[in-house]
Amino acid sequence: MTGDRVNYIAMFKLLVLALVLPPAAALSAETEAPPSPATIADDVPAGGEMGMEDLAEFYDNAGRGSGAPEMDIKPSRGGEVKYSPPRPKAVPVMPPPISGNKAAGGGGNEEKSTGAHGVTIHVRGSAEPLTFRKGADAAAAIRRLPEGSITYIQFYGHGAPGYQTVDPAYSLDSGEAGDLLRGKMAPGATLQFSGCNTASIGTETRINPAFGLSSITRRILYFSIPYFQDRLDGISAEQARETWEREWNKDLAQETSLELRGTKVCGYRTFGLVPERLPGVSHLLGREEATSPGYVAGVRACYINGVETEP
Amino acid sequence: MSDLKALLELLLLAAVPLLPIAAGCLLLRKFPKTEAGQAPPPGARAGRLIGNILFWCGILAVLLMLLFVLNYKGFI
Repeated sequence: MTGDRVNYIAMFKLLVLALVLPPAAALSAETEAPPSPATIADDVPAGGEMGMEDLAEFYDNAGRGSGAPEMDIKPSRGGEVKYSPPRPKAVPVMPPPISGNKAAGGGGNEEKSTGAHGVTIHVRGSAEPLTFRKGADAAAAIRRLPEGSITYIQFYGHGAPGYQTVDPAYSLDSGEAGDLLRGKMAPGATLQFSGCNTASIGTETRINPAFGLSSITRRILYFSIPYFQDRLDGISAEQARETWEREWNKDLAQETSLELRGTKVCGYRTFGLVPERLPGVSHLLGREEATSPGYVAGVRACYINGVETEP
Repeated sequence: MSDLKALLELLLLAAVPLLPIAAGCLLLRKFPKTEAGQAPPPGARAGRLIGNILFWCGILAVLLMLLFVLNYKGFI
């Protein structure tokens, strides 16, 4: 710098200001807006594809919480860089309690919070969305839903190229999402993966510097670092390069849209920063166990049958 | 050779947010603050302005990348 000519105090003040302001504002932000429950309810066919008995089955247990197990929500994906495709999860035979507004499993006051994550499902004929804290609970409930009944579903949690985590014990790749939801989605339904890097960076040229920085970070975290880890483990350079060139830019949303024909599948081309997840902020807002992210700073991409469409 | 390419790529990518900081520092050094009452040399104000913009954009870029890494590690 310029020695004593530089006003370090002013610079420090600006730095503090920069830390306070969310730097992610530079990213083109989008707030996910699922279809309103009223719209879904209005959309019920005259015959009612989903009977009241089916719905009652889901709401009978409203208000009861199964309690979240004590587990670390921080997946420390630094250790997961060399991930392998997620294994099929054990799903309980009987679906656990489900509530309308408050997520099942969030009622255990004495248990440690596992952070904000979950699954939100809008079902035909239901005014209230079904929300779940645990992915396995959601999967069990989805299997019990009638065919073509889901109008909107959102998986919220940490993501990485090619897979979406809901909670530390449950994650999905495109094949598993396809197996789980095939036949369950209503015509024109939307599947939203609300996790980082759940779509590829794409081919569009962008001038947004935050998008560029996100892409650089993605390349470093999901190619460079695992590449050198593999090399240290004795894997050949060609094999390591081939593996991570394939993995770092995987497009979960596009691959899943090919599995679920006719369904609009959306993901994020960037890291999706959720302000309410910031330490302290989630506590202040009472969103520590939220099952949907609200505002997300990130670039969203959507596909139908593998072809990109408007988000 | 493949390792060298990967290492070079990593260094270049990691250096991207540092480049504006370096450029900003160079400009601020080239166009130092003038004493009160003195007329600044031609182009000094613009040079300092661009230098400051580059410097602070670089700082923000580093912070944003730090935010991404914290998000990746599960802290955010």
